[in-house]
Amino acid sequence: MRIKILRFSDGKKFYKEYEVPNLRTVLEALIYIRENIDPTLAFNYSCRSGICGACAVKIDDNARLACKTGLRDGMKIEPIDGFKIVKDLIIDDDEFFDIYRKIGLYTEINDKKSIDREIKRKINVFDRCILCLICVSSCNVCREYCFEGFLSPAIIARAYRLFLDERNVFREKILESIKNGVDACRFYYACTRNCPRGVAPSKAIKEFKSILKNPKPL
Amino acid sequence: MKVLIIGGGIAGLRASIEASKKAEVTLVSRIHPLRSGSSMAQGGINASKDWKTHAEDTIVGGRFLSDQDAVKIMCKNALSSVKELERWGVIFSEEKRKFAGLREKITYFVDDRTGSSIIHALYNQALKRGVKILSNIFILDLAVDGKRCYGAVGLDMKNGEIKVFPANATIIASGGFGRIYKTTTNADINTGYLTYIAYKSGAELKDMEFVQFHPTSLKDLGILITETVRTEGAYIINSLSKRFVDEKMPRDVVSREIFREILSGREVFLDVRHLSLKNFPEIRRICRDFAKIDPKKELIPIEPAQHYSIGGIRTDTLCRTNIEGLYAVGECSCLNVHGANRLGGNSLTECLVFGRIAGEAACNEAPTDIDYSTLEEKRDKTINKIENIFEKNERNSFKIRKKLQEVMFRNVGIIRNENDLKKALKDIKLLKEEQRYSGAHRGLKFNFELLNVIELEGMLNLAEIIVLSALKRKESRGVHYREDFPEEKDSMLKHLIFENRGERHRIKEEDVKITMVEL
Repeated sequence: MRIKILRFSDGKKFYKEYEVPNLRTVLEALIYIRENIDPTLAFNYSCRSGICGACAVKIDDNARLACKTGLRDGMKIEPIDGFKIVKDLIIDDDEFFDIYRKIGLYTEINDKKSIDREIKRKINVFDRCILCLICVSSCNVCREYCFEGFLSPAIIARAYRLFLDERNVFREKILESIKNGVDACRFYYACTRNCPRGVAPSKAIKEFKSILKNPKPL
Repeated sequence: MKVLIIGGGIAGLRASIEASKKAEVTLVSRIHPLRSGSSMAQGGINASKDWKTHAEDTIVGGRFLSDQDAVKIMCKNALSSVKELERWGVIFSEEKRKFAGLREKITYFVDDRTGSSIIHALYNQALKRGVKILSNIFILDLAVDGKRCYGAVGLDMKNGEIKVFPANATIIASGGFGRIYKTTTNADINTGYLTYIAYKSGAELKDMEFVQFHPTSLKDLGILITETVRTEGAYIINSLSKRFVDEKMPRDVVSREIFREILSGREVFLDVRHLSLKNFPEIRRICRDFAKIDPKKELIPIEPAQHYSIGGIRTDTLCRTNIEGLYAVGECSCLNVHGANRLGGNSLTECLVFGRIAGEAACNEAPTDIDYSTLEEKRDKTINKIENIFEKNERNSFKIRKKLQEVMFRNVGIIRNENDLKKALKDIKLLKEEQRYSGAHRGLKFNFELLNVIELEGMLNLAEIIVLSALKRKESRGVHYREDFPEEKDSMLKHLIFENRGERHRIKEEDVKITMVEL
């Protein structure tokens, strides 16, 4: 099989084709190339099982986890969009996690309060997010606003997971810190469509928008 | 007071939260903390009000090799660790489950992605408390000057710079060394490099022969299928559709029986078709995405895979190593709570309970002045070492690693004997010789060939220690099974401790601390 990879180092960008054996996944192909053909190829991975979120890349124009994407002849592999490239398929996520930190997604549970079973179920779904950044890279609005006006589907989905818990003493603070960062969403739903974990960031954005429009006392 | 934490998994993050109460904390991680091996923990975390039963099960499951003072501390503090996670937002399932070897259902879980849920909560807590988290830092050496540690030297892979990280106290929380083996459930980053560096710097290693294999990983993939599906009723069957082992036995027993079945030419499957799988959405996802099967309708092809490094950097119950200012916690360390066989659900408990203890103990370290000259000296040495690697011509490091992984799986795996071990030792020595000529292309930015050459040195040396320790233990106990000595021997109720003496290893024996359950 032949696959094409976008390479980037020392300011030079170019596509390079590689011949690889019939392997199961894109990640296996990348590992094969690094260990047998070209040791300079840079990409990240860790768990190989779709739970750590380290191996997000763009495969034939869609952001995917390399570990769980089947390999096909003629595939084109590139770094995910929306981030500075450090080297080859590795992007710089420092800015993203810096904003994540500054937003202050805190939790402190007041255990005297109880939690509704239905809410628990909702939290469980949003808790599956692994911050692999596929939604961020798939989002047109993110690319335009570069996190400045729009906090990104990932941060909003994580914020929503913590906000949903009515026992969280930081609920109000979370709402306060995201309130100017959700409005820009134009609901292309690329985040929800591409999420490898079945999370729906667009739903979190919709709910936050409606809460912010009709503020009820928490 | 500066505390440096190396590793961003559950143990490292928990330690950072505690240390941040009193010290300025920097946590360095070779990959973003959320991508750590801990994120892969599925089944859950053990904790019980009836801590004595938990402790007894741990000791019996570990075939009496656990240091019981450490077990007591772990089990007594387990429930408060779980409560603390709940305060930080982790929502455990209402019911509890259990792992093999536990008499009661004392395992708290979040579906079958407990580690992922916990690590996100801890990461948020660490950020809240102002822990400085630096990703993409590969620690190359510890700044140890004879007796004391003053921090570390690391490669910033993003910027391609070699930096010093000064500290009054340094905590290693870098995980296990599963990648020494061909088939492993461990993340790619778990090569044990810091365990080797600690040893080289003078820290002792303990119980290195105890390498745990998980009975049920997806065949050819080394992806974990949690043991709790078995305690919930899953069957293990062979290609003749026959059950051949009591599925509820501990990991060591089940792994051996499956391995024997595979050696005799039959395939082995996990059968979960009759279970609801309500609490196992990840298992369904893993089977669908990676094995392309529906576990509700089809059998899951499995094989045992290396899973957990029981041995590691020797510490006391305050997580102190024998080097002043140097601590170790989590899978890289060896207290030893798990004895000769770790029970499922106890590793998260260990990481959280002792993560807190390590963070606190490190802060109580008398803040001696940091000797910056030691750090600078180490940095210069490291730069020279890397320059040397660039000068070498051979480009065979990935091949050597693969050979090592095969040798270890074949000859130092689930069933061992003197001949195989001696053969492995010979092979490792040859590979070490080959590795001396291994080089890498130039460049410090995300140069994975360079990383592999560096890590390979550690992997080969740890492999040698594992084999020497396995040769020395002429008995079978827990995960260490010698077919030439198939019985447990009371006279071997001892830990084996390795101490680095330049080119030689000094091996000491130490009695197991028995304070609770007699043999």
